[in-house]
Amino acid sequence: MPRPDLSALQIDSAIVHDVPARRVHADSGAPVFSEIDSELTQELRIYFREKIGTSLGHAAFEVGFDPGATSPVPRLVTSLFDGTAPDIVQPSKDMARHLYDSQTGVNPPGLLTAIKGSLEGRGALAILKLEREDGVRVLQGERNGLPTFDIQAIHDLMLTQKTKVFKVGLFLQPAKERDPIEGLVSDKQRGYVPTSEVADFFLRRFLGCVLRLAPEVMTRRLFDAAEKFINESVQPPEKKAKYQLALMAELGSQDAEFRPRGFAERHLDVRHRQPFIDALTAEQVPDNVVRKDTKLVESHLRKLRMDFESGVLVVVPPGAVGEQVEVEELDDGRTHVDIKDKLRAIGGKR
Amino acid sequence: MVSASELQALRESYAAERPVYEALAGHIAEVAGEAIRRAGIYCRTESRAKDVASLIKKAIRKGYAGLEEVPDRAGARVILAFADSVPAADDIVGRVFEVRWREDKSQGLSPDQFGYLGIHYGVSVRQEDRDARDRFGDRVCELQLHTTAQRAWADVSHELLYKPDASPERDVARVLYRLMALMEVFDESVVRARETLKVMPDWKEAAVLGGLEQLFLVMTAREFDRELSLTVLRALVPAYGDEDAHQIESRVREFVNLNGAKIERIFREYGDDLRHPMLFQPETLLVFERLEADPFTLKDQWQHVLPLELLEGTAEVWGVAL
Repeated sequence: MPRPDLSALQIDSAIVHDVPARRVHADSGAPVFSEIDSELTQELRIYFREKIGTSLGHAAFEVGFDPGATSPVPRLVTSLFDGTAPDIVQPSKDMARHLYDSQTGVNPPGLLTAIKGSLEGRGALAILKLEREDGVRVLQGERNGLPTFDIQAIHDLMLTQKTKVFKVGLFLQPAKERDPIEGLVSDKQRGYVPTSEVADFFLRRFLGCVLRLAPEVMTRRLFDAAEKFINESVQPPEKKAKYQLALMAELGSQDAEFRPRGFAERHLDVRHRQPFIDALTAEQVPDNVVRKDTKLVESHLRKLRMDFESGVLVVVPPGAVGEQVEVEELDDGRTHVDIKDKLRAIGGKR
Repeated sequence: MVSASELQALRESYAAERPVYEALAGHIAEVAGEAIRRAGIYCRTESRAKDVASLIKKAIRKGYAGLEEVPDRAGARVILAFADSVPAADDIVGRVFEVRWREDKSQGLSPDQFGYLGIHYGVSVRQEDRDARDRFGDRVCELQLHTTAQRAWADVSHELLYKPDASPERDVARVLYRLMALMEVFDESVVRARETLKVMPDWKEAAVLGGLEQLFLVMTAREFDRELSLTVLRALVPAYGDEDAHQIESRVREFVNLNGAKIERIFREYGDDLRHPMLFQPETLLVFERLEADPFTLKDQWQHVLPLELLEGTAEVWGVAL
């Protein structure tokens, strides 16, 4: 799916429903529904657009509806696009009810917000699960006849400036009638393994979506593209080794996601960052986030391998580089690998 | 000698065709100007179709009986700021038009002679440009390529020297030749001054700002803070590496051409929004361009000079996550 220009999202209407936490053995109440959409100023339309764009820009996965999903959301979204639903009210209430019913004790309460609009000539629907935030505000006033600022606690803020990434799914009406509905979904980064119930609640259970691209395939594609870039576009050799080790370390870490732009900023020189992203994009690897599954690259992450023109092969555990193994470039363009370690065994290659 | 009936026929046929020649002259000027500017060369253009009265007078003077005999029915000019841009502009003219004839006026001068130094062409639209070809056929437009000084001399000399059968008095001729020499010295000095200014601090940023200002004003017609622009540009210009001011401007201009609708929409929607104080500044066009091309270097350069939150705000407006 070509990435749409989210700055062009035009917002027509928005509606908010309050979805409390669901306590199995307590009377926690039911959702509080709106029966009409909220009034929106131009300032609010722009604000929502910016927040949605930022969240999806940082952390969106391409998704499609799961044909086997029990969630009613795919049907409700379809009804808004095909005109079956006259407006956003009933479908969004049904979504809020479904959110409440499918939550367990670990899911926090929230505000289910549905935003209808258009993007690049196609109908668009954004579904947000937002949490109330606390803050304080100051109002000029008087106390004991003297000027002061009244400080007031606020408990019903929503989507503040500091919130960069939140739960949002943006679905686009297909350009052609028989095409499937495409979407982008972002969620707060949790660092859990992908199969966690909490991590996948919003995407799978609530929205009824699946990732369009299998994580193990995308991880393999990412690894191959990154390695190709390091080998073909990076000099000198010690820089190659540094980048390769960083790639292996991040892919082998416990984080459920790999963020290419963040990786580039943390590990690559400035001059290599954009070319690295361009190299990934050329292989259709997203530049913002990849859901990790290292099944297909596991064996490549255990050791660092250096092949030389003479046929010499050096295989190094990542942790040994900089310790027992040093890599440096010589003036004549050759690479010097220095190994200082106790020799354990030597023999013919098997 | 051309007859009265031939002049009448000429008048009628040219009056009918003149709108086409006017459009041709405008088209040639526009195509030449855009192609040359896209190469990072600043230029102005002018165009005109010969008016009917002038054409008839020329026909009487030269004895032209038919329209096809009159050579400069349509005329366009490309006026360059710097003389050292002429070779590149000459090359561009050869690529974007069918050149029917070319006359480099300097070639006819011996080393001890001074005179007009422009290049004149007879051009028509290329065969590959189907729409233009359908509209203008193979009609020829006279295109003149010269510098600002040469343009001034061309205008003045037309008045001073237009006595084909008489030479000026010796003293007057000497004055005129000194003026021509001065024109050449002017062009050379401008190029030399530019090279000197290039290495002076702030010049590159000021030159970039000059180009951005023009684009910005066309889109917004807003006042802006020049000092703030120079402060920001001091941080951003290094993000373009070794590119000079013209190259940077050319790159931003091309970006604005491609994304003009989106930029105009943003300026329109955020017109009264106080949350993004940096938005209505000319350098924002450059920020937008870098956000698409290389946000990493932009971010790296920016945070040496200004709070990152300001850049994040602009990125949010453009629809890019930093």
